[in-house]
Amino acid sequence: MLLKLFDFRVYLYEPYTRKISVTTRAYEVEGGCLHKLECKSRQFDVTDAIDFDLEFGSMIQLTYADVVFGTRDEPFDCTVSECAIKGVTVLKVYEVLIDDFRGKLFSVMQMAQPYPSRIYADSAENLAPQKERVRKVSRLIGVPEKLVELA
Amino acid sequence: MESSLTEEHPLLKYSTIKDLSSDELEAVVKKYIQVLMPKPNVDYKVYIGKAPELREGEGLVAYTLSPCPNCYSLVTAVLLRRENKVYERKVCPEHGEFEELYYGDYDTYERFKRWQEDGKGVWTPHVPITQFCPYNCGLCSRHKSHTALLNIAVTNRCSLRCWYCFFYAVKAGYVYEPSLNHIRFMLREARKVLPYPAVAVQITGGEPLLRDDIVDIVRIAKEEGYHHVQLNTEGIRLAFDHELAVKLREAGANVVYTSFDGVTPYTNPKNHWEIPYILENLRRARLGAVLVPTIIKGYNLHDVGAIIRFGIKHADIVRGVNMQPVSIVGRVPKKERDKLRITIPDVIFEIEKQTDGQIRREDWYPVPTVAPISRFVEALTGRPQFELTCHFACGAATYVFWDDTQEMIPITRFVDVEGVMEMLNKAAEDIRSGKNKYLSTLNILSRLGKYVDVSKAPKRFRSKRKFLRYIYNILVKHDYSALGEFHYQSLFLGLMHFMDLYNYDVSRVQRCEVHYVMPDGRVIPFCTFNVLPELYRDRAQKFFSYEIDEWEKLTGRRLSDEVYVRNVKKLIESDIYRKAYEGIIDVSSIPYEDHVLASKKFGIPVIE
Ligand code: SF4
Ligand code: SF4
Repeated sequence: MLLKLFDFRVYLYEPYTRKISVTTRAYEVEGGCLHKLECKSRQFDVTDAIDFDLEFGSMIQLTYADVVFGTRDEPFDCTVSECAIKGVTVLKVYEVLIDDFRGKLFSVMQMAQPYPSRIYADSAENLAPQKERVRKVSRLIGVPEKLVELA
Repeated sequence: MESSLTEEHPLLKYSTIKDLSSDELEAVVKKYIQVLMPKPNVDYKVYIGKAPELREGEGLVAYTLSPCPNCYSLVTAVLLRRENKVYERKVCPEHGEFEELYYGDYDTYERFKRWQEDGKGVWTPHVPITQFCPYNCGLCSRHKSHTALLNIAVTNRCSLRCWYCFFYAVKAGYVYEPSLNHIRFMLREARKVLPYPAVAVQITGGEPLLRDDIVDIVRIAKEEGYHHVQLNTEGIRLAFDHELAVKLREAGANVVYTSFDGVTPYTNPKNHWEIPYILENLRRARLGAVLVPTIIKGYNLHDVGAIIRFGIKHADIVRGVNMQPVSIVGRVPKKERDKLRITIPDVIFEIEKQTDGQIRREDWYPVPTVAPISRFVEALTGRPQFELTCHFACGAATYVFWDDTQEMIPITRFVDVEGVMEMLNKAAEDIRSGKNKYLSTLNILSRLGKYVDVSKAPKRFRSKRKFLRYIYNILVKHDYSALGEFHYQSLFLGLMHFMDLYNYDVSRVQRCEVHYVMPDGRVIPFCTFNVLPELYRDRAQKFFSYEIDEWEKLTGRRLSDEVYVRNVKKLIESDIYRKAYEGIIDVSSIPYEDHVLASKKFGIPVIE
């Protein structure tokens, strides 16, 4: 199964200005440990747009339409990494910068057929302190808090 | 359960589910969501790689996504500036180029843009993201605004036969009329959307007042947690049934939205003659009205000033005038569209002209302007609040007051709206970053007076204390009865420009806050429900409908018996009619033949 990660930086002008940058790391969860995924990178393509919305629509309120709408003439600078998954559970860690906000967000994917499903995701609009979220994620995936914190 | 399913026309025999309870219905109807969702490569294609080019003399405003008006394929569109107006241009590889006026004044576009704020999104989506917006409704988790006003269509029957409408039962060829339990299920589903479940609902149709159980529907809406219930009606039944308005109010209806396209029979052939009686019956029932004119260039644009004056004349019962620049439905050639097309700034400028500058362009603000009020109350209470965060190009509003001379005084003349909103934003930020709530509130109260210049207000507001008390009650005590009182002494003026296939902008619809609940429980933005009807409204309503014969057999009625025939003579004879228009138009100067012709031309027969 393939998993996509998005790293991008975007300056939006419309319908209001926002400066956003996101880098993503992903880990396979196995036996209480996290194993960083090896991925192949390429440039963003319009066929990635729905996955992009799925990833960031609720998490940081950013959609492909925003990116198209707001960027004036600058190309959307986004790298897509595709990672092959063997395991069942994946932890994604996002380093996010939105204007003055800087923080770490998490999501947890269950890689079941036919579609992987998201069983946990932070939302920048409703963000508990990082400690609380780390605790929640750690319980959910059975990995020590320290490891989640450092991921 | 009988259902015949073909790729193009999936259908369910509605009579097989009409007696189910709302819980039973939930299990049944949700199964059909997947069947009814738009299908890529069947209903639309996606061509979003290449953006249309700009030409000489044009400047880039933004790029967006938009459907092709002919085949619904999603294409990249450009918003461009030319001669201080904003246009949308898009090119479909199959159907060529389309260009449309998007916003009639670039300066207003820029001024309004400053107020954009986004909502908190949808935390409990009804459908997963599997398709491009707007083919993934909804709501899906990319949607940015909660439901500010939920619409529920309770019938597609109508007693009018307006020439432009293809939606009513006889033309559609089926009767869509969900059972009371089904309505309850839909209302419940719509309230499952978090973080802020819908609290305001508009019962619409077809003509909702044709349902004999309309009073029960209002009651159900209240029971399901909708504090604000409004009816959207052409009002014919209200004009003649003296008791109906009372029953509706007693059941919990808060206001009636009624179409009102102008002050003469020529500009308002839909209900010019009935409006005086509708208002009279609402007055007796103490049920407020909002007048809803659809504004069309070359048709009734010259009436906007008179419409506002009519609203003020009846301000004891009319709470607002909500103007809607025309949304050009269906596929219309460019030349024809240019004759009709009007946008929000064009209407605002025309109002300025027709009110001799009493309501000026600067008096209008885009809808999200009031978002700081929600942010502040949210910071104060720690609970998500109702917020208005649609796209700035979707709507605009102002409040007008008047004094003894009947001169209109917009709120902006004596309240520094920008100053107040800035102060609230700052206070919300302070509270969020740990400042004491009570000190922040006290600070606001002590500074509020700075933003109000009561010497410029209408006489009855010249008491600063009284005016500040209104604001204090609303902001701090969340006592909206104050707002009610405020309403009775002012007129709300609103503008909402529903989109159509030619000016569609995905960035707007993702922020839409006016939604419909569908019979399968999905919640759909107004501007996909009505603009892509074959994919949403018609598909779902047809699926959950009766065949006309079957409905007539079940109810013992005939659709043809419901057609309204107007008795113009009788309607214009009475004092109620004459007095309603007194000082606005000279009704005696309109020949009887003109009345009859206007009605007939519109499609409403007349008893002669
Ligand atoms: S309009 Fe809203 S609900 Fe519909 S697909 Fe777009 S974001 Fe989703
Ligand atoms: S109904 Fe249309 S015009 Fe109104 S908020 Fe929604 S998208 Fe905007």
